[in-house]
Amino acid sequence: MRIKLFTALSLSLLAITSCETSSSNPVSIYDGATLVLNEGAFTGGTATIQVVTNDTVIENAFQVENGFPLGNIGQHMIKADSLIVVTLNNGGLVRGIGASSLLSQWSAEVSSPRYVAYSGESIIVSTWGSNFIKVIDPFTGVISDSIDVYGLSEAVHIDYPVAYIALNGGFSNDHRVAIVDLVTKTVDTVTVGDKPNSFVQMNNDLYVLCEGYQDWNTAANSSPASLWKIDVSTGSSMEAVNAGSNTIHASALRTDGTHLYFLNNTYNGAVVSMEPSSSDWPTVDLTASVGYSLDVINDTLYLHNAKDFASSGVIYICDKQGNTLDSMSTGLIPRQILK
Amino acid sequence: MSALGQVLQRTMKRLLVLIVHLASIGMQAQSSDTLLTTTISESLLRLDEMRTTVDSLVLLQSNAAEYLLKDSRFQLRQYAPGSVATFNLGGANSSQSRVLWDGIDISSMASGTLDLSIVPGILLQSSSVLDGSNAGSFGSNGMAGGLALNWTASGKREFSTLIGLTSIGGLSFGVLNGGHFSKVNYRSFLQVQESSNSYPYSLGNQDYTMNGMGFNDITFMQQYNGVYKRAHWKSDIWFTQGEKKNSGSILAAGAPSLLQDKALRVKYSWQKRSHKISAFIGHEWQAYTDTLNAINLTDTNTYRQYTLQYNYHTKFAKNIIEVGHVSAGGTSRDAALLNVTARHETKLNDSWNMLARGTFWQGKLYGAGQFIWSSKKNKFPIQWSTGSFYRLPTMNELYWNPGGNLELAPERSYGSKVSALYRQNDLKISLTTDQLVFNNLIQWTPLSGGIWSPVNLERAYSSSSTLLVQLVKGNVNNEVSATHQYSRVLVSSNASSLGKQLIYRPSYQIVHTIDGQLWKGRLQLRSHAMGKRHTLRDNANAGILNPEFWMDLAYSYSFLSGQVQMTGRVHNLTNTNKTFIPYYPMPGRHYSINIKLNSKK
Repeated sequence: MRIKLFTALSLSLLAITSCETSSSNPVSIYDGATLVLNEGAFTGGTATIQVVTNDTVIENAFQVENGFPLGNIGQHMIKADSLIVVTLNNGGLVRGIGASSLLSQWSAEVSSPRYVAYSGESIIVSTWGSNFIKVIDPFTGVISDSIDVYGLSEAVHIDYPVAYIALNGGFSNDHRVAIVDLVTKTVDTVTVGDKPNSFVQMNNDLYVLCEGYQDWNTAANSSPASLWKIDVSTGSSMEAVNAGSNTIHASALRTDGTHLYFLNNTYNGAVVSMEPSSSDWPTVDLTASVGYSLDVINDTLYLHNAKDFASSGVIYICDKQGNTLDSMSTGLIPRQILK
Repeated sequence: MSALGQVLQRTMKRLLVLIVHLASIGMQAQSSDTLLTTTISESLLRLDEMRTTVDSLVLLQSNAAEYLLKDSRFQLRQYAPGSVATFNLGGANSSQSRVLWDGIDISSMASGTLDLSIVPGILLQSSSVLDGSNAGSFGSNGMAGGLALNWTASGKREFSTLIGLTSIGGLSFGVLNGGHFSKVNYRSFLQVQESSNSYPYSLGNQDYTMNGMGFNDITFMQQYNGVYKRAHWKSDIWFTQGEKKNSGSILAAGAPSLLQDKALRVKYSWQKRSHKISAFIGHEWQAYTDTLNAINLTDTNTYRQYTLQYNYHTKFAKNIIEVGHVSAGGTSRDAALLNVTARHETKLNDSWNMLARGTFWQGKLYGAGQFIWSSKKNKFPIQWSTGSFYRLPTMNELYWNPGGNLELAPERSYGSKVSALYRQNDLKISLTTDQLVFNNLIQWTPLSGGIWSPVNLERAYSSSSTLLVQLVKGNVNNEVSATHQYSRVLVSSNASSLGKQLIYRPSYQIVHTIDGQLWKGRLQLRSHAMGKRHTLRDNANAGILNPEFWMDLAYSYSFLSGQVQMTGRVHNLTNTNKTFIPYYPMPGRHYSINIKLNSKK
């Protein structure tokens, strides 16, 4: 009888304790928050992650949580399961950050890292520091492999098990996309326009926006922006359309699922849109020419305006017709928004 | 021999005769005569710096940037000790404040600035700092603030060996030699220094060790001067070579970069009674390399300056005509320009002086002028000036590829300055205030196509006031130097900058120095307080550098009848987190020792 009474008492205490434990584990402020990656100043500046919730803005949340700055020049940020992964190109770092805590989990040294993508197993990092993309273990941050893609790499898109790597030549010129089988590690390349910078996949077609080469010494050597299409089933590429003029250099290709959106200039670009099947380069500006970068999330355009690159920036929130619905202040040189 | 060959041979012979003749002029130098003028440059109301025993020794072994931190008017931007140092004085920016060497503007017309980390302190005189619009009376360019560098071979026999050590990995060795032969005075200075700049620092809650901001450099200077047939002549050579690493910020540690520079400057001047002719040649070479593993990005730039200056003084006037040819070559620009400047100063009467300045640059003519009124009271003199000056667009701004803008107008200032001086017994007080409006401020701005280009964008107002108090009581010297600055952007195409403070201008700077006898040496305590600085144009909180307070302690001691002088210093005694550029911390508390061995007295 005593044993039964003791057992009952223990179980009830355990139940109470369990209730207390679960009720004292509140949802993190960072869960479900909007994150903005700001590049920061090139000289003596740090990138920042700005957190925006319904009633709170934390301007430099990474430093607030960790006590040290994120690093110089924030380039790209993705969510990878419970991680936020950020590349810091001038700082030569890739940081793995807890998505719920914004606490730094690991950092990997990669020379001039550019863009990242998550394969479900590994973090793939492109770089201007060498011809090798880096494969990073998301749990430890250890660089587990390097794959030669035969050029300096920019944007990364994964349609597992294949990774598409834009080869843009870094500070010079290239016009290829590397097609990497992440299982067999075999690499092939296909030709696209000069300086590919971003991808969008729609069904079986992978669209590649190429900004075109800018020769500042001899303008005649410049080439126009162009849009290319890679058939992911065959790996063949073809030019869909080009800008015609070698003074047009486009960036930040995005989609809402039916249309393509991008900026018609690499600095101070306006948002333009086109149907994927169109053979005409879009000439109607949807927004003012103020964009440094662009995101399209849930049928909404987020246009990043860096102003004079020495003041806080702003993100204009627009509908798909380019009408401004709202705006939000950011840190120095806003580059990307994650929701 | 061909006709051309004969012409060349004759020319070479004449050149040889000319060289021999010039050399004989130097060797036959005679006694000097004097030249007195009463023009604006000489009559500006200001107090010279108080140079303590410690300062006098440290000056020989430090660069201008390090030494001038004792002056509250001087505002420095530097990554780490010994790294590239730009400055401003009196509310201006670094390209608006100029550096003159014996009256010749040596600030690069390519970049607009001169790196003060490779200017040896020995070139600083106690009156070198020209604050605010006073600087307009000296140079051929610039609007506010300047440094007038000079040094003189007096003929005094001297031979000193200089040794310096710091606890952050610094080592310097120098030789100062002077004297005369025949009737020629000479003085030479050779210094080599290096530092690993290895020091601990904290950022937030993390502790780090600075690594990757080391530097080394060599400086050689030599002057010969003398007198020939009542004419003074002077020849100078100044050579510097340096290497500076810049990958010490934790933010950019993955990207090593290296700045290498060489500069050779040669000057010859000849002065007889009221006439002075100076010729200057400057060759500068600079390479900046960023290493990104597989990629080495090297940007190499050269700058050449040839200047001929004619200076004519009378008792009531000074006239200067300067003809310069400047060229900028290298990776990003290739251009040459003629630079002709005329300056005329007149003493109108006992109270009024007038200055007019004009420059021909890039095919256009620009003018500037200033009136100065001075009170006649000896005990409490007051001076008021008003005028307008310009800062010419640099060759980088005009010709940089891509982005250079040939349509740039010069920056222009309109302003007024009031100076007052009070002296009583051992007390000296100086108060100056400058009110300036800067128009057509040039800023690099991204335009379409991703190209950054300089544009005349802004108008700004700047108010800069300095109080200097010097008090000597017995064996104790006191100096307080306090500067207050207020600035606002009045017009800008960027709305977020409007009404904001100009960046990198501390709201106040105060430096207090007390120096007194202790045992057989001199003890000096110097305290610095610096107000907050904005580094972002919209003055956002993220770009604020917080106020800082730090102290330096030094003890100087001489023995063996003055043949050995030693100074031990505790820098940043308060172990303050000092920063001139965000995320590039300067060293905390560290130590140094300077030794001067005099083998001739």
